[in-house]
Amino acid sequence: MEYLKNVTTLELIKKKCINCKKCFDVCPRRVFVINNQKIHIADKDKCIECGACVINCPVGALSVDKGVGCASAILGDGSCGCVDGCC
Amino acid sequence: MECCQTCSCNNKIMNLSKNIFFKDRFFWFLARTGIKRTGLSIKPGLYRFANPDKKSEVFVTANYRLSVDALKIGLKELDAWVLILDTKGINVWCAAGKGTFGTEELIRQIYNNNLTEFTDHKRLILPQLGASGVNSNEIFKTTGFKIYYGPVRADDIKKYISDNYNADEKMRTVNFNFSDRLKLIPVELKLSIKYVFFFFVFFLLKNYFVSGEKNINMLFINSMKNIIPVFGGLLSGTFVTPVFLPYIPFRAFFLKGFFTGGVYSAIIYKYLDYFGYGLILQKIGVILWIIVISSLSALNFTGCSTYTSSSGVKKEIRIFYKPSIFLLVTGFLFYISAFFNK
Repeated sequence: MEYLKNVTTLELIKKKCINCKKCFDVCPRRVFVINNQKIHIADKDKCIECGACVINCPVGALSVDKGVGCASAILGDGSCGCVDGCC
Repeated sequence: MECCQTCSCNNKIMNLSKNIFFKDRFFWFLARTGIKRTGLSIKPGLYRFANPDKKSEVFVTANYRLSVDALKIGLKELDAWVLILDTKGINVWCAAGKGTFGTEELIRQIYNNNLTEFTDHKRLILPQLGASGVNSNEIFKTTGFKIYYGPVRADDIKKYISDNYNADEKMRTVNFNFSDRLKLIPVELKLSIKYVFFFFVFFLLKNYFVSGEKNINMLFINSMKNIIPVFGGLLSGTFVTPVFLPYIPFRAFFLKGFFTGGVYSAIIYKYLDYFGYGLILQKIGVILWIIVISSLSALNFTGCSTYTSSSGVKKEIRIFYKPSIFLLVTGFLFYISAFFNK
């Protein structure tokens, strides 16, 4: 299943990338692919902006507006309104 | 002795029971139905799972009961150390999103539990879904421990280790299949039922003051009848939409709910007289309610889904939220105006 097109804020700065493949490992949506030992964004629309790749990138080659894709959290106080055992 | 229910204390290191008991399954049921949403936490700290030694793997998880149980089931016959972070009783993914399953807390637990005394290796295996909260480079710089992101599902742990700490594509991918969606429906329904209650109070007042129904039994029966189409709108958004999610047209959740609400309205339209919507203005009113309730509760399911982004949901809210409130109010205006038009 894919969500809205052309909305995610994920960016890869190829100049900075050292192809350590950390982002490839941590991405739960398989946004990245390895081609000729190099990291590429295969399908940007799959990105859910969880921020796993960004926080684990050792050289700051990735950026995203991290957030939760949850309407009640966004309509609430801006942080996730979940209580114990949510989601 | 201060201790939680699933462990027996032995100095600082606690034992994590290898078995899943009926009581655990009962807690799963309570959590999934939304009957019990608090107090499902487990005391953070370092635990023994079976008989670990200095070579055994260290697994890190959240102190939410269901997260710990999933790990226990995944570990099966392994001897391991389990380091439970204090995520305030919230599961790995949500806690990683909030940062409580995070770099600072992991460093704190490594030092507090003197982890280096129990292992002669420097490997920590984290669930992949914890990655959005944890800076593995910083953990390595600060503590010397190297983070290995394991598979998404604890069931794949054994294979991950036997494959030399490699997870294949399938093990690294988050699913959102039929059963995943089904599990999340009861809690959503429970959380949104309050809106139906609001409508019920509205119908009680309408039937008492406007329709002049003073017989208490009839008052309740008529109000129940009135509420059924509206309740159906809620089911359309919180049950039908999630169940058929991949097959419903449109990518936006709001539009998916709009679609199912529309189909449901078409089906129920000819029965509306029976439910107390005899006049055309009342019919228009209730159909607007149905469609708005279905759309908004479908939009709310973005919080359960595993493939929506914050930017996407924000876009949906920006486009649809105000118009939907406008339609809801319009529904009330139509419905109420029917009584002046008799």
